[in-house]
Amino acid sequence: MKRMFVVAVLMVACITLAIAAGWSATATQSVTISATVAAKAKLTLSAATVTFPDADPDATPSIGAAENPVTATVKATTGSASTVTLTVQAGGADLVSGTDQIAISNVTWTATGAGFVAGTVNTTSQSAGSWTGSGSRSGTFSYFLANSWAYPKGSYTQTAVYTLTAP
Amino acid sequence: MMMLAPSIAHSATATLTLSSTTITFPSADPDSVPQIAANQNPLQVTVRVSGSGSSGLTVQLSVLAGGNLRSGANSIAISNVTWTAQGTGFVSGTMSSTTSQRVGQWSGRTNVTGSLQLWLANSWSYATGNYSQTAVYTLTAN
Repeated sequence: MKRMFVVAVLMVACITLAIAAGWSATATQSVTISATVAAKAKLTLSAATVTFPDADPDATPSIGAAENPVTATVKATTGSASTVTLTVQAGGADLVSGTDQIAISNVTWTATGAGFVAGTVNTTSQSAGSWTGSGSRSGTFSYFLANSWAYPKGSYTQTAVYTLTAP
Repeated sequence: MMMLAPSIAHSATATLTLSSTTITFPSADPDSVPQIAANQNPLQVTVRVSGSGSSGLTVQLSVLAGGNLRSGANSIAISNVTWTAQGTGFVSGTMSSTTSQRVGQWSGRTNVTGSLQLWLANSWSYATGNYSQTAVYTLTAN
């Protein structure tokens, strides 16, 4: 009787082991994930027009633009060690009103924000900011016109072009 | 006395099929495209588990990335890759290189097709480059 019981237990064990061996399966599949990041540059200024009101040269030797401060937002993707540059260049040597002129070099700006720099408007490209690597940066420019009793009356204009470069 | 040990053959077979083994995210303006869709969306996924031993099995599909997206010395955290899922048993998730992430779960004999839409969170902070990484989808039935 005891021997029959032992045989029965052994048979059950064999059956259990045979069933467990086949009860699992696995399959795998590899996938390659790729992403391209190309160079990009985007410049946003809070004002596209800068206007200097008329003022008494004695009381206001430096006229602040009505739009001050102008917010500048610079966004770029570039190499991690590459330099992003913002420059400004006037379209002519002078603010012009008919045949009257005011030298463009009388227009200056101050800057706030990391990487943004102050300067003087010129017909040659002037640096307005530089940064290393990709990112989004914001700062402000405040523009000033040196005032003078020597200016003929008139409405003077000129264009200046900001250029953002992300190599 | 002769001992008889009956032999019962039970087995299960698992098959995993993906409509593409390449997932590519194109470059895009982060302001206008904050989430970049993979070119291969939707990714069709077919899971099959069959066999005389398949009843009662738990069937799971998971994915594990080999690391961050890399381009030379630059990297984009793999957690920026996510997916949404459609189909019975399929679930959405976020890629990980440290912990296997569930993509789906079923019971017993299985024959199901679903789809995954993969997305890359875009950012102005990414350095330019061509990034890549491998992810392994694993189907288990046990």
